[in-house]
Amino acid sequence: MSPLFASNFIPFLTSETSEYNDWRWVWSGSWSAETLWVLAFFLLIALWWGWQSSQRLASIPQRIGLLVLRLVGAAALWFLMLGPAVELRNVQKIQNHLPIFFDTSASMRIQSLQKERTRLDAAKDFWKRHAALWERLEKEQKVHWFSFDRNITPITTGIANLQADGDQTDLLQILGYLQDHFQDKPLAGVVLITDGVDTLARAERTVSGITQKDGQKKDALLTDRRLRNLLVGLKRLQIPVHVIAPSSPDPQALRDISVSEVFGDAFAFLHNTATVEALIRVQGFSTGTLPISLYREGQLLQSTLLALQPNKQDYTVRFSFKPRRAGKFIYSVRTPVLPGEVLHENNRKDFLLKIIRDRIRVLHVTGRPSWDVRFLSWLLKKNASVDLISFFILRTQQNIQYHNPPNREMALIQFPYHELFTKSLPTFDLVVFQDFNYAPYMQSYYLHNIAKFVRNGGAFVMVGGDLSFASGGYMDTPIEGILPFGLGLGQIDEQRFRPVLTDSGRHHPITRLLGSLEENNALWAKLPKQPGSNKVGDPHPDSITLLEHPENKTASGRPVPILSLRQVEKGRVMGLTVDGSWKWNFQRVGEGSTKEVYYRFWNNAIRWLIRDPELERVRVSSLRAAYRLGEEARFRIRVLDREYRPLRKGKVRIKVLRGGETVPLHQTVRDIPNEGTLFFRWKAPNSGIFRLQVEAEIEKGQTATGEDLFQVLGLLDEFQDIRPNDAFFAALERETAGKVIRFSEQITSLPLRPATIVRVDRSKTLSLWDRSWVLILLFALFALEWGLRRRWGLP
Amino acid sequence: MFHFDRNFRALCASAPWFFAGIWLFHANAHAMGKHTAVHLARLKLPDLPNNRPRALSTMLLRLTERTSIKIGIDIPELSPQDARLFRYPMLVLTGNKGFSALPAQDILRLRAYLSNGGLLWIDRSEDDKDGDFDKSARRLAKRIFPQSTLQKLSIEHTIYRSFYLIRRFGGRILRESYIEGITIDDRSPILYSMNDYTGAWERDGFGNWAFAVIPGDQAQRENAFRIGINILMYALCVNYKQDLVHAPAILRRRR
Repeated sequence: MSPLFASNFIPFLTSETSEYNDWRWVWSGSWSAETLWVLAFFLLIALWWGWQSSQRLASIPQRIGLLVLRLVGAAALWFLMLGPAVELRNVQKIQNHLPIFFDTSASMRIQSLQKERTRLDAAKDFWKRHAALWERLEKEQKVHWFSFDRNITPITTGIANLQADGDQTDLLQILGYLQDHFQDKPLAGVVLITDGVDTLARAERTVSGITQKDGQKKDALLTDRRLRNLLVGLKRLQIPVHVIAPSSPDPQALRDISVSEVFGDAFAFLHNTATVEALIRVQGFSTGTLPISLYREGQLLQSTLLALQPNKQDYTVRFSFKPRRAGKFIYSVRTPVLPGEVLHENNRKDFLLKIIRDRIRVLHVTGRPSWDVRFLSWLLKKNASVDLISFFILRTQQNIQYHNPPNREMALIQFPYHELFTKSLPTFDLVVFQDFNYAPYMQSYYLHNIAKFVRNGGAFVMVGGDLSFASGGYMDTPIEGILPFGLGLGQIDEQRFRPVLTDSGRHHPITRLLGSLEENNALWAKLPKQPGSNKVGDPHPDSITLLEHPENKTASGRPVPILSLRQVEKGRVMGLTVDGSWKWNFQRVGEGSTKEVYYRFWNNAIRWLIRDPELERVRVSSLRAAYRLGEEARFRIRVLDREYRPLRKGKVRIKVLRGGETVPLHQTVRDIPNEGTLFFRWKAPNSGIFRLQVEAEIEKGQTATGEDLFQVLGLLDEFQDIRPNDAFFAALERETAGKVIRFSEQITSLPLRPATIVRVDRSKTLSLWDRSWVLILLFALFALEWGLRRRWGLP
Repeated sequence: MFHFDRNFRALCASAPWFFAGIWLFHANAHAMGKHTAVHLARLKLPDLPNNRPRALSTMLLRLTERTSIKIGIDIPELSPQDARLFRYPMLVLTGNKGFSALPAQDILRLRAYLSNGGLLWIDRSEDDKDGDFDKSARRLAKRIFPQSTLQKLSIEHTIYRSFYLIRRFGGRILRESYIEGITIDDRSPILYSMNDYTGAWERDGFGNWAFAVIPGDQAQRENAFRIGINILMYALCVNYKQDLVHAPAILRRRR
């Protein structure tokens, strides 16, 4: 109803208008709806009858006049039946709420165009300059100040004390927060003080510092979807959302180089070419060249020069390399910090790469075909995880003297020892010499390479035969230096015998062929006999002997080793002095059993030789590959004794080191629980890649170590894209009728939604239907219509 | 007299072979236990006498001369139920007449033997085109591996390139220029040859060749030895020569 009605008509009803500041219609009629409908029906009939009866009049204005009079009278009658009344009220308007969200994520640490001032500084400066505005808003609205990054927190310590240290920015949570905390409260608007860079999409995927190749696209899509949801949600609130944001920089004015992303898989295969692509984002530099380097564990792997071009920001640099060791390693892509860069932290991106074996590459060299060779070769060939290269010496110089047909009639190739034992050697995981004497084919120089290969982490096996060990001429060669026992005098024992398990052999995974100790011992006691052995010397002090001869003794009186193992620096060596292990296969089948024992024995040996993590004595495993900053990293540590049983007592020394550093950040000593497994927790002080090293004394004087790498995610996501999100700001402005205000601007007001919710303190109802003048007026209307009808000759 | 002269000359002619054989076998005797050497065995069937008693020894002598394989001198005859059967991963069966069907337990044992890495080489010695040995041998192979049948091995099979590149076939009778076999996965545990290769190797008590080769000459006999060496190499190395590293050289020589 119009103010005219309120100012002219209400005083006509009462003289107490000064006590009220508001009014409204109310309906107090007690007639039922059915009654009102029946009345409406009769009134319509009366209208129709009046119109029909007025058809006799020739004058149309007369007919219309009569109809209007009857219509007004009928309407007035029906209106009075509703019981109209005016309610006078004394009301108070309730203040709206104004939440203001202040971005304290790390991206607000980026320097603004005014040097040495961060975005946060500029925002604080804006806040100070507009103290009068905030004061006025505080009076008109209920203003709420929040800081936000990954979480939203009410600001209680003052704007001046805010720090930009949040590791992620979650803009979408603001919508949820408004819905949860302001659902029943009227909002005047929302103010966001932010650069608009939402990074949670990047954080939501599982990260180890390396991005799946379509990861960036997925991130962009997810970020886009998140911001779109935020926009839709804010628009539904029907309030203005204002953004106070950093100035959009001139691309040339903001200078920064960042290793924005590293694309690739989180794992690569050993000896296979692995490829990672680095996305280099360059702002403010348009000429010259930029070195981009790939490091592994702090050692430079590759470097390339990037030619910068005008008007180009994103460059992709591809690195291809062949990992040579299995395990988890820290890689990093780095670029130098150039003068004038606003951020230094983003010039390097570390990532973890797990190098796994797709297949175990085995080089199998044998001096002559034999049944032992045939069954081992067949086992290796049938093992789907083994990539086998084998060379059998099928004829010797002696054979050639007897019979030397033209080469075209032979299916023989030259033994490519030079290639195998020089440049190709590092591509193998395991080298097996089976009944092979090297001297007729190559110089001892190549044996140096094999010893070096082992020291660098390779594995080597020598299997017995009359061309092996001392009989193969390996005395005083580098091979003797890595074997687990002395070579003796080169004698061969031709007596059949059954090897005996040593104490170590009873528990070691290579010879533990059956689960139960008793069953395993019984199995070894009935395996087919061996046809003889190489009589080697005493075991090396740091070797482990698993099988020994039941009768033969070395010069020092110790049992002759049959199967011994040795760790040589990073590599592992196994010596088996018999050439009849095939009997554990074929002959056992003939005895009504299976060849499983043979397969288990050799497969266990291969797993141990190539350091299958499942066969390490100290196993350290981080429960996750990556943790958030501030989150406790958790680890499971399992310690096995020398005989591969859980170590039931003792201590472990735990060290946490940063990346490739050697000085521990944290170290502690813990007791080993009875079950040999303990759990360890540690909270990183800052982000980065860390190494947890565990050392345990598995027996007196002998220690074993294990380690795992883990990543603590930090602020880098915040620095991937340092430009304010102007597109998002523009969309907010368009969808919510808010404003985008730059830190450098000066404003005097913020358009906000006026308060609409009221509180009623006092009210008075003035009814209309029971007033005499209303009834007189109604009667006068009907009387006038009846009088005119009579005058114009109508019934 | 004539016979004496002939036999004497033959004995003189064959003497170097015997001496060489003794020397070669002796040379291997110092090796790592006599059981380590590669031994073959003959499959002994009740109604099939060994009609080529010296053939394998002759072939093994050639094998020792020409390859690095260390050979065991004794060649036992083993029945399928012999406890020693699985000490000998290669069995040879020769014959010139049919033999009765083996009992089921023998078939089961032979199946276990061949399925787990053993090899059976059957060499047909009979002259008749449709002889009973052929029928018996095929029946035996079918009973051991009912799901498979003896099939001609293609020229790409390792058997033709395991040591020599086989272009021509030998044997006492130049009947077929291929070998048949049953192939399971990528291995042929049963090989069947029809050219009487063992006949081409057989010597009499004086060291002479026991049988003339038909229709050929010494090259045909030499080819028989080459096939024999390839078969034994195949038993020991299986598909070693199928390794990619060998392929270029073999293809080049085959052109």
